[in-house]
Amino acid sequence: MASLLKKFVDPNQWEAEDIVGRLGMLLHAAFLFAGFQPYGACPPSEHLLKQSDKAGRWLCLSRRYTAPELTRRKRADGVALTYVALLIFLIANGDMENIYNEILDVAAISPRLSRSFEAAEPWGSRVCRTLGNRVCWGLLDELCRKNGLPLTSFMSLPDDLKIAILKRLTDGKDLARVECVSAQLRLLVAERHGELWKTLCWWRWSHVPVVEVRSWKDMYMASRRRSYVPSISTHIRCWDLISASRSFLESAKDQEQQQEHQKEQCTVATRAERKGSHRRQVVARNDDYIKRRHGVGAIHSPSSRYRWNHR
Amino acid sequence: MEVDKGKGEAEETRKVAEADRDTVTLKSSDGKLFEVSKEAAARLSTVLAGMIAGGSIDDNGTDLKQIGSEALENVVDYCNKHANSIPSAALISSSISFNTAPFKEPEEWERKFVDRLSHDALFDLVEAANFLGMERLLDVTCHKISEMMKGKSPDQIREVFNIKNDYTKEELEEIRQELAWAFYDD
Repeated sequence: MASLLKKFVDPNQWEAEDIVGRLGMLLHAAFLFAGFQPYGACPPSEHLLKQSDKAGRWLCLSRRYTAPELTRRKRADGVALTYVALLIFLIANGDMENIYNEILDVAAISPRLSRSFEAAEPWGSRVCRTLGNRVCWGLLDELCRKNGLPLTSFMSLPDDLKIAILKRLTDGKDLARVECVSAQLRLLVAERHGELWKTLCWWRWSHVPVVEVRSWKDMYMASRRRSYVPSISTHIRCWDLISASRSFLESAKDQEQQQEHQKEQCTVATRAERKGSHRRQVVARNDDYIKRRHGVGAIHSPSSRYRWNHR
Repeated sequence: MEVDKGKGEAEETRKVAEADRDTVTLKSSDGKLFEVSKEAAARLSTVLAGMIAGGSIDDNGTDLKQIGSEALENVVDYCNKHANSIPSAALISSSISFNTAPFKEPEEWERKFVDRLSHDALFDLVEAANFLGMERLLDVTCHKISEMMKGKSPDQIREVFNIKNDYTKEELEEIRQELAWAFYDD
């Protein structure tokens, strides 16, 4: 884990540089880690070129980078360039929303940069990895896209792979947030909606009921609602199991009936308590839901099948 | 552990491979040669297993035109590390049904293996694993990418994966209302 900085930076050079020079080394390593390749004039330090203005008030570190694929092109003309000045503000305090939101706090980084190479190592690699995977990778992606180069990114993966990744999300909220990311992703989730929500049901219950279910999303959402409304949660769980997993019920029939009875009593009591409170509407809505599911097993009309989808 | 050989050494590799066929030589899209144990390759990759069984392995380096040298280096590295690690009980049990976990959790060394990769290398590795039919490596890499999404807001996901927001303001508002439940903590 911690060897990332070692891969790109020579410890002796690190020791020889001042804090600004070391920061340059970190950034250089981040660019190389992201997949960039240095381009053009090589500064004597082999890292970043240091320039200061005439009055010596500003210090500027610079280096040119390019995508390796671009250097392999035979003809260099027609190359779209991304000119980016990556301004690193070393701030003393406060927060600000940068264009590229990487904030390095001078108070936090200067003591670390002053350390010897070995002592700065684990931290240095971490910063390098973060910068490399965020700002630098974003820039590389943009550069490649402008030049029509195939850079593998999440969106360029085949749909099956994207789905394989999305199936590993263990919370429905994460999947829903992915839908909000882009219309293309939303379409994909809608197309493969069955398998994605079925897997989420698995993550939730550690098994998937063996019965035929029309919409796994409905089932998942129903289980979410249970945890939203604690006063009737046990009640719904009973019915949910009845409609969803008969096999489960059969195996523990007697016990379940007993529990069911107790839970029902408990629910009635809480409902009575809650009468007139602002939660009442929620209770009523869930009751309605239970009635519809009760004794039906599968939902037949299309409108009720998509009931929870369109909320 | 991975062997990245020059031309002169490749000659040597061939001689060794001829004498002792325990290894397979793979050639990346940019012509670099890598050597991997035949046993590990056949066990971890269905595609390579098929090639070995079908005799379509070239001793001068089997061409894998879809895979760049960096990704292939990682694949070979993974195979070697896998050969050295003792599989846990969870890995030995084979088939996945819906009443066992849909995916197997990565082991500690596998986590470390993917954690050190850059985004660029990680996505290339996912594609390579997919191309070579390496189910386990695919599991590990997909798991890592999904970890990068968990608990993040849509904006953060866009930033991490550099995805363009192609919604109009109105569309986005509508979807956010529809999926409002995903933005509250339980």
